[in-house]
Amino acid sequence: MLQRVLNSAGIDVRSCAELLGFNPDMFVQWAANPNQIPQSVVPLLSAVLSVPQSLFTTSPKAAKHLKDEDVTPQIWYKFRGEGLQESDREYVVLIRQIGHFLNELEEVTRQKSVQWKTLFESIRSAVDIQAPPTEQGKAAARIFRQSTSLAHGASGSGNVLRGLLRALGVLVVESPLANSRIEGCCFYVGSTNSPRPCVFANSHHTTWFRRNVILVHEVGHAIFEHLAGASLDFSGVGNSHDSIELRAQAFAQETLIPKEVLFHAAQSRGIKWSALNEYALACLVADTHVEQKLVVSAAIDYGFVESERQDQLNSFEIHGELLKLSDHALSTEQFLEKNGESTSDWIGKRTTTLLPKAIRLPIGYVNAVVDAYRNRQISPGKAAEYLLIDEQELAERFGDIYENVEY
Amino acid sequence: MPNPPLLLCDSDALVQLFIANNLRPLQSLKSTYHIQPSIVLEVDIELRWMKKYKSRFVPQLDKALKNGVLTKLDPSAFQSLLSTATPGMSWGNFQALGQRYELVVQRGEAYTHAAAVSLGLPAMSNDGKAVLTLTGQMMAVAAPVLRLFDLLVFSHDNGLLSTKECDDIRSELLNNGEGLPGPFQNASFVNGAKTFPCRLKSGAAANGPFPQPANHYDPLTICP
Repeated sequence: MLQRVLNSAGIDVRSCAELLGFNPDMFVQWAANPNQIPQSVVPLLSAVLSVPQSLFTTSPKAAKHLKDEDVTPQIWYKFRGEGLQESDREYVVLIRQIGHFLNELEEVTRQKSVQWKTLFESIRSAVDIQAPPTEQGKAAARIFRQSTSLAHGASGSGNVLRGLLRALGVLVVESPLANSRIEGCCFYVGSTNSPRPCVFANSHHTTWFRRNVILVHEVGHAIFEHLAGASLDFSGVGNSHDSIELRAQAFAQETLIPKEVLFHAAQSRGIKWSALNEYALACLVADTHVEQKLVVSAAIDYGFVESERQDQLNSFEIHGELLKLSDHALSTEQFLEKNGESTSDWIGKRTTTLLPKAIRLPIGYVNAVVDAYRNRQISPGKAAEYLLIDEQELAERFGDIYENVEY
Repeated sequence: MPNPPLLLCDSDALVQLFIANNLRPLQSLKSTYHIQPSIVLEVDIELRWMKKYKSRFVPQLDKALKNGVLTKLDPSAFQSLLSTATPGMSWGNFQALGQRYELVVQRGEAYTHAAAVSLGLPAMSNDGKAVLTLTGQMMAVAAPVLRLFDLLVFSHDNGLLSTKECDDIRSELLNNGEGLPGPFQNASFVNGAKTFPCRLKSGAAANGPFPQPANHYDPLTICP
C-alpha cells in the first residue's frame, strides 16, 4: 500500500526514505510489505504522505480491491502535475514533515493554535459564493483584517504579517528553491485529523515586498481552496483570467494594501498622485510593504491613478530609491553589512544540514524548538531532530544547556 | 532477586560497540549472566540509518541479530515477559507510552525507556540529557540506566575484557569523535574507572538479595 501511495504521488521510494531518515533498503521493504512498518512510524508516514493511518494496516487482499484514486491523497494530484519536478515533491515531503514536527511540539508545549480554523470558516460562511471572485476576495480580506490586528492601523503590515499568521496557527515557510518554477503554494500539513494550513514562498530571487504578497495570496487560497489539496503558483505565469487566482489576488491586495493604507501612505509623504515619480513610488512601496506592481494596481483600483498609466508606472525603476528607504530592499549580504549582524545569526541558524536538500526553516518554528529545548521540555537530541541538524550543531548554534552535567 | 532477563540497549551505546567492533561484553552478559541484550524495533530502525554513519552498521547489526547476541523486542518477545510486568501492561500500553516519550526524546530512546519501564527492566543508553529531560518532565525512565562504560568497567573488573582491549575501545571512540563519560575523556581506561561511579556490579548469589535499583543512577548487581 505504501508503494502505491508513493507511486501515485510521484515520489521515489529511496529519496523519500532518506528525507525521512530511514534506511532506503528497509523503506523499500516497508513499501512492499506495510505490515513490517512499526506502529511507531505510522503517524509520521501518515502525516507526511497525507494518508489516514488506517491505510497502512490495510491487508494486501483488501488493498487489491482499492483503485489508485482511492489511495492517492488530494495534495499529490496537484504536485504530480506538469511543470513540477521530483525535487518540488521532495520539498513538499520535507515541509509536511516540519508540519508534523510542529504539531508534536505544540502538544508538548501546550501552545497549539487553531485560530485559523474558526477565522477561515467564518470568512467562508460570510462571503457570498455567487459574487464575482474579486468581490469575494475583497470581502474575505475585510473580515480577515477586522478579525486580526491588521485593521488597527493604516500602515503596511509586512513586518507583523508572519508573526500574525503563525499566531493563527498557519505554518509559514520561505526558502529558496533555485531550480523550481514554484513561486508560491499552499497546502494543508499535519495528520489527516489535525491539519493546519501551510503557505510557502520561494525566496530565490524574490524581494521581501513580493513575498509578502505571495504569502497572503496563498492564505487566500488556503481559505477558499481548502478542499483542493494544494494550490500552486508558478513564476512568470499570469492567471489574470482564472477566477480562483483573481480571488486570491484580490484577497492579497485588500489585506495588505486596502484603500486606507495606500491613502495614508501617500498623505503622510505628501505624495501627489498626478505627479507620481520613481521616488514617490518607492516611498509607497517602502511604506505599504508590498511590491511595486501591487501598489500601482491598487492605486488604479481605488481611483487614485488612471489605468492608462499602469504600464508607465510599472516600468519605473525604483530599486535605487527603495534601497535608501527600506532595509527590506537590501540583499541579505547588504543587510548584514549594514547592520553588522553575523551571517550565522541570520541564516546559518535556520538552515538544515542533515538532509540531501537544505531548507531554511521558519524563524517562528526555530524559536519554538529552541524555547522548548531551553525550557527542558524536549531533549537536545529531539531539538536537533526537529531542526534537521545534528546534536553537536545544536549545541554550537544555541548553546548546550546540559554542559558539564553528569547523569 | 534474579538477574533481569533482558538489557534493553539504545542506539548510541550499541553504535559505540559497533565502532569498537567488540560485542564481547554483550556476549558475556548473555552467556555468563543469562541477560539477553535486546533492542526495541525503533532502535533497529535507527541503527540501520544513522545521520552520521548512514548504513555503516547494518552488517554488524544483522550479524548480532543472527547469532543471537542481540534480539528484537517484538510483540511476541514482549508478551513472553509480561509475567513480571505491572498488571494490565500490554503491547498497546507500551506503544502508547513510547509515543508519549517520543514527544520529548528521540524515537529509539523513547521506546527503549518505555519498554524498560513497562517491563521493569534495565536499559543501556549513553544519552544522559534525554534521561534528564524525561525525568524533568516527571516521566519514569529505566532503573537503572547503564552507560556503555558501566558495561566496559564491569567487563574489565570481571576479567571479561583486558585493560588493553578497554583502552583500544576508548581510543577508537575518541578517534571517531564519540562522546565519553567525563572521567575517561583525558585519562586512560584504568585511571578513568577509578573515579567513574559504575552502575553495574557483580555479586555472589549466596550474598543476596541485593538492593533493587529504584532510580536511573542506582547500581544493579548481577550474579553469574
